[in-house]
Amino acid sequence: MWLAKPVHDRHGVLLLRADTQLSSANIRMLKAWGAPEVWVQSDKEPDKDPQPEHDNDIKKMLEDELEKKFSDVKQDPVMAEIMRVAGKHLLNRYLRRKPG
Amino acid sequence: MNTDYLKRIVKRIDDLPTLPKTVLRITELVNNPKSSARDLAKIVSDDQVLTARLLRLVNSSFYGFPRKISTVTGAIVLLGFDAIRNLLLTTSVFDLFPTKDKANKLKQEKLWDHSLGCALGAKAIGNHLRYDNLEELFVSGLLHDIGKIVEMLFFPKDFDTITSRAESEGILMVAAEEQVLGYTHAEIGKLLAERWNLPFKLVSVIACHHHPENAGAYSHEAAIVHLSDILCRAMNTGAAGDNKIPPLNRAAWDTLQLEPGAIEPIMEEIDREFDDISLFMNTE
Repeated sequence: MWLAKPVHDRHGVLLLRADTQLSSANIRMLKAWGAPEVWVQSDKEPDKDPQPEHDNDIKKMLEDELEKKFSDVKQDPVMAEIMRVAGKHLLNRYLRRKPG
Repeated sequence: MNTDYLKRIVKRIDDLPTLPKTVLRITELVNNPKSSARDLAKIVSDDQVLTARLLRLVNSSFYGFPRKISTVTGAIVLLGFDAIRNLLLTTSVFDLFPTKDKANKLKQEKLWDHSLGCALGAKAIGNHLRYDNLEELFVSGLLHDIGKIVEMLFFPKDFDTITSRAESEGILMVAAEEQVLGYTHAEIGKLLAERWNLPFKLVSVIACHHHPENAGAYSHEAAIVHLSDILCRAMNTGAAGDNKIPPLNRAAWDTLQLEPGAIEPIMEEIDREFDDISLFMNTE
């Protein structure tokens, strides 16, 4: 679950920025500071909606970038695992931050 | 590398930043097992800027304490000696390098972001390995590329040549530094850390984060920062000055005895905490 708007306490102090993922630690913190309201985004899970063409282009671009970056080291199985996780992370980050 | 030549260059830089004396006194005090919270509170309280900063940070949402902490002693009791030392060291180091040149502002911010990510990563790896002193790992990660900041501010033309060459030739920044300067940011960082009288462990990690096997008794800590550096580069957390990934040092990986399945949760943790910590670091 992601924040749709920044969260402030009753005195207007910023507690969390918009687009922050709500972890259990964050929720505890918000309760502790008495956040009066929290706006969350509707789910934007990467696998739920069919990706439009633009998203596929972005995905390809991210993959190409990672290929280039890891070209000298991806033979190492640990580095291959890091590359796999990084690819997943970068795509999720893009989908999380894209407008709409 | 010609060490004497490098030392002469560093010595010549009159305005090379020095750590505030209070932070050095705090470092000494924390290292003394006979020190009490009251001793530490007295030193911090004598410095109005540090007192204000400490109270602001301890009351920030980053820590999430449900009640207001209004005394330095209260902050020390809640956070502990090491955390206070590292908190003040970290924020003081940020202050030492104000960005004067607008053109370099973005580059410097990206480099700090990379360092922050690496600090979080070192802490996350240490946490996974049940390492005792996570705050120490955090500071090691934060300062591992301090030599690059020195290059950027004191050798701006060389820094531009290095980053341009790294980009055009598709090589690591450390390789471009060897070509252009004949020495690397790790060596510059080591000299600066020594000048600041930082603990030897921290000096060793800064000097050996690309070759943890050379860090002697601290090869484990250097290996943690080495891996964290790789993870942050992979995730594009900030920018380290090049667009390549350094090879994983096999001896470092073996030292850590980390299972590959741990990589994903560690990377998730870095990502999750990055927004929170950068918010706290930017607190004015």
